[in-house]
Amino acid sequence: MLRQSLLLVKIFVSSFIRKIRYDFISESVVLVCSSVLLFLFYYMFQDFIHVKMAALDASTRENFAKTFSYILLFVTAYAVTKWTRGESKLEFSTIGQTATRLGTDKVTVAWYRLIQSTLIQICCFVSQWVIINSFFYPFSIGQILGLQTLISAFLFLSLKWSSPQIKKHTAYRGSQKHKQHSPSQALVAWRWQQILFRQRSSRIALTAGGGSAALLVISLFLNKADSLIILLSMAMGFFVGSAIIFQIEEDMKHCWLEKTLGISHERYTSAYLKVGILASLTMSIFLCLTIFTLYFVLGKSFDLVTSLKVIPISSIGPLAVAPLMFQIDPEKSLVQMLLCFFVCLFLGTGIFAHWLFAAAIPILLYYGMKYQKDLFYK
Amino acid sequence: MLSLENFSHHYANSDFRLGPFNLDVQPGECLGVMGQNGAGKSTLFQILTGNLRLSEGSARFGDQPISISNYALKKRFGYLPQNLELPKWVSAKELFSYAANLYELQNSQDIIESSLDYWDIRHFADRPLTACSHGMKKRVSLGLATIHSPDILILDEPFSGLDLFHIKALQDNIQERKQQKLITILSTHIAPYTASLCSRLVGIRRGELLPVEPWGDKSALEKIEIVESFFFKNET
Repeated sequence: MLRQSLLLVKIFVSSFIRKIRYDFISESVVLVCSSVLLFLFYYMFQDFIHVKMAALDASTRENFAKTFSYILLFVTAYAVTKWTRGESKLEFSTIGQTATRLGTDKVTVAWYRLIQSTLIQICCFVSQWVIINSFFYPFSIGQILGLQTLISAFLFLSLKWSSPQIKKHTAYRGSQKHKQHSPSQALVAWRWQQILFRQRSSRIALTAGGGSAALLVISLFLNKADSLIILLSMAMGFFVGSAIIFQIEEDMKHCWLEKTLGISHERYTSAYLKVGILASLTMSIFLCLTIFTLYFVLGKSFDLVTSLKVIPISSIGPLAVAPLMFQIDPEKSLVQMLLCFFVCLFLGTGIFAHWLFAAAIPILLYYGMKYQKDLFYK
Repeated sequence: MLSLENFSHHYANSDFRLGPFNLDVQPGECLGVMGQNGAGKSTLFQILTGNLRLSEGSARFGDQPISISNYALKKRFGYLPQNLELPKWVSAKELFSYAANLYELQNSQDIIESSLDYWDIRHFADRPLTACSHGMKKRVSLGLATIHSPDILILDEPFSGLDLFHIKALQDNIQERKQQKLITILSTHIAPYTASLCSRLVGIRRGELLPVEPWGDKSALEKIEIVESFFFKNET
């Protein structure tokens, strides 16, 4: 029985290697681009970060390091959980299901799934812990194991039971009526509907964005350090941008639809830009009202001018998605998120340093949209 | 008329080459396209629907060139791909509404209702597509391909997954299109359907267009024999 399970694991590993070999060139391009972004960011900002970090007290630095570590772990755990849960879908494309339908007993398949998910977790998390312990915070072995178990279990349970995804047998009642729209309006309205009400990953990302917004408001209320407030606004923008990125990933699976319906590259990317603009405006209005209420109505004494920087900083994430969507690979949400993360951090840190850096946002929009012309049809 | 001249396409990192060949399709024709898996049929359809860029030669519909950037012309085409990748978490009704808006159809509400009824989608029109069977998705895709009454309809394996009732609906639709002088291009491995529906047949083998004995006024059985003899003669 165990031998059969190991055989299935061997099939899984060899199919994964074959997939990488088949997509070797595109995967290498993605890897190189991601590495370049990482090192570029580190090279440009290491001095600034070290100066800002040195200005903080030790416990705040430690909290920052731990927070970054938790975020990294969360993202990895999400990716790993999504990958391993994919094997439980009722599709022939998964090895486990194919084996089941070919008559393999359930216990053998269960062992296979256990070994497979353990293997995936070891490969992904070992590298994460090495990065975290080297660059962020030196966790002990006990802490590592505890955190690892906790985060993976929490994610698995939250994906399984608290998912806002509509059950398959449920009929959609809410938005059934046909509304006459122009093609541009239809493209935007469609994506808004998917992001807000249908696409599970997007809704989880929006929830995380909402959580960051709540923490931001609390931090302003409690007059916390400017660095924390700016970081939370970056996180807010990043999560909302990620919601749009997940929708792009989903759309790419059936982009033949829009192509066949005669939608141009410009119209398609403009739709996503409009979605980003709407998201940014919503967040900006919310933050503006919050800051002014806290400052003028409740009389809080935070630095108003610095706090207002959260408005352009939080806007970066959703605005950056459209100009970057076809630059590397729109089908890979993690790569897109990495790109968005660095843009948020790069521009956000710049705006934090000086207001004039906000001028980089329209420059990014212009050149980003220009240098991905017609890539929708490639 | 659909006109292909020195029509040729090759992929960047592959030895495969489609064409070159010339092909004309007259209004009212239903052209059957036959070939083994991997012969190049889907590549041909992807180029005709403006999803792939043609490497050499030209493709025209009337006086208009078929290309990726001719978006207005694309709206006159309808396409049913072989692989049905549809959005998961939307209903058929919503998808039709979306397509109607993108096609800029007038009286779109009536057209949507009519399409839902014709393809017998009404009873699952509100269900998420991920909860629908292959046959249901096929009918939804057929509805999407025909909702705007396209001048050229390209069907890649349309019969798979359909029951007899809906096969009849599809056959009636194709016959009606012939009477309306609209072009249909049909790719199917099911010889009886090719024989009953197609005015003419062409074969593709490893990217090359091969001639097939003309139908003339032959009976259905004779046409099936022609189809089978072409296929087995050229694929062995």
